[in-house]
Amino acid sequence: MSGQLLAFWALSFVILSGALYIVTTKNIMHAVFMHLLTMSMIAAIYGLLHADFMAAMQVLIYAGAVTAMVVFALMLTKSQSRPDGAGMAVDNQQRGASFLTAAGFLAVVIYVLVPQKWAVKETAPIVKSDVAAMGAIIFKSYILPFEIISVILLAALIGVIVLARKED
Amino acid sequence: MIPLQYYIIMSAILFTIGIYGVLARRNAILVLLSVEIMFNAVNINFMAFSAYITPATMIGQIYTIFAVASGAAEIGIGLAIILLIYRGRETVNVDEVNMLKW
Repeated sequence: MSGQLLAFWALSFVILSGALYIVTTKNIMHAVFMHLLTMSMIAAIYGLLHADFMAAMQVLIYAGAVTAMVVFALMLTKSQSRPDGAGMAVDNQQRGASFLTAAGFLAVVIYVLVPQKWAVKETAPIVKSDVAAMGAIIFKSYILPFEIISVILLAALIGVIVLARKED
Repeated sequence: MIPLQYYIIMSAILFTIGIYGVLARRNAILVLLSVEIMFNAVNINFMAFSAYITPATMIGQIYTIFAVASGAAEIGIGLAIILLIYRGRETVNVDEVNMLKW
């Protein structure tokens, strides 16, 4: 077993068990901090795929910004459940149906996707990340989506300010 | 070299966990966290396909950049809406937010 494969198994184990912890724990604060760990491990998966820039972005945006924002929202709202697990449950009464739906989805996806013969390049994956080439591709071929996404971000920013503003 | 199938299976399981969380949680913030898990499962898929099938043009990586940007916009607006609901109704329980039902 190569070192890469070993790293992949270890990272997958941490990511999947962390995600399971997020969707099953009773303590919301623990869920948020496990979200931080899970997102950092996904950044390590990107590193395994030789995408250093996206690994850095993952840490900055998901592990950093999103977690901080969720912690703020958590502090500003009153949770139904207390840290000791007492109080109202954080889960609703559809856990069985949710589990069946999710398991059915997983079965269909694996049944459809895994036997496919993907056109995998023999030289893949690329051995070094090339941020300069990526920047050239974005600003030559994908300039219109880039401008549109900046307008979307600006609209989201203004929308959030308008929504969260105190009524006067 | 890690087979591409491993990445597909891993992200499919991650997406499934996210679906379960969205359906089974009643705290709106936990629902948003589960949506983030699903987002990241999709991004892992994009990155894996980019590295294995189009390593030269990096289409998947560029898709991931745009997906991350729209995901950041989504979580910002989602949290703002949650705060707004909390201000009006004193709850973040999505089971109680049913004004739009008949």
